[in-house]
Amino acid sequence: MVGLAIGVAGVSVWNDFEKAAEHEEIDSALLADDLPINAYLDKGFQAWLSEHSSQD
Amino acid sequence: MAFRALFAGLILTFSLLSLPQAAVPELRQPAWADLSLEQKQILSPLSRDWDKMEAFRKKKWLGIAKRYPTMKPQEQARVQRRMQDWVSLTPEQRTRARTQYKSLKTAPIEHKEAIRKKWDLYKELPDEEKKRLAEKAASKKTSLKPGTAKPLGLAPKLPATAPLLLPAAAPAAESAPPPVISPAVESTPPPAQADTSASTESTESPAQSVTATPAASAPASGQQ
Repeated sequence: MVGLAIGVAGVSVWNDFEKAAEHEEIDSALLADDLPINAYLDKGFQAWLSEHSSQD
Repeated sequence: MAFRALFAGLILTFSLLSLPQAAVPELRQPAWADLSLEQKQILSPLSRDWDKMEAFRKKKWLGIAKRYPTMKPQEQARVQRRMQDWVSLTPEQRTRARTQYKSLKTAPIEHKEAIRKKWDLYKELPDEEKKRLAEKAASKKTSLKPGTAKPLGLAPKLPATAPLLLPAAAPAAESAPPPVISPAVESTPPPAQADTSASTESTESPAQSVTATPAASAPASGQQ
């Protein structure tokens, strides 16, 4: 039982580090990008884009 | 009997203490005081949060700090300006930003340029209009079943093979609160805003800032 718990915890930690390595590349690019983070998060902007694309 | 149990307990405790370091040496990431001067300068916006961060997040930021010298000065300035905002976002918001960024990254260059121009135009919209759009987005989200959301962006203009821009939020982001665009942030910007710092860039405006609400006040949760 203890071994299983250690195993699960170990996999979880390993997974976190794997994700961190993956995010390192994308986050550095995203943070340096000339389009601000808001543009990716602002749902109003996305709705506006949607309206425009349907009007064009 | 008691002696054997105690002995087994001691062995188990010793194993638990030594196992993570042996199996995952990266678990030991430096404290703020142990960073080099250069790392401290680059990561200075994170100085307050650093020692509370999980090891894997520290590792990611150290990796970004390693890439930092290879960036252009303008990019370096953006990275530093956005660091604090980034850690203040909810895990769902970060996931969504990454998903959208990946989508845009694979789009043709002219498509990216179009999105940037649209963003500049969008920023000029009156606050009432932005509020209406945010409400529209929120109501659309609630009226659509998961997985049926129509891809957003400039998709109709693209060739069929082109990646869609700014698609609907990733499934993981569905529970995230919609970003709130508040004109009030100009006067009293809360710490949890994205890109609220003084900016001379045409692409960023404090008035557009996303207030990373509820979970944003708990930056220790989730991936950063």
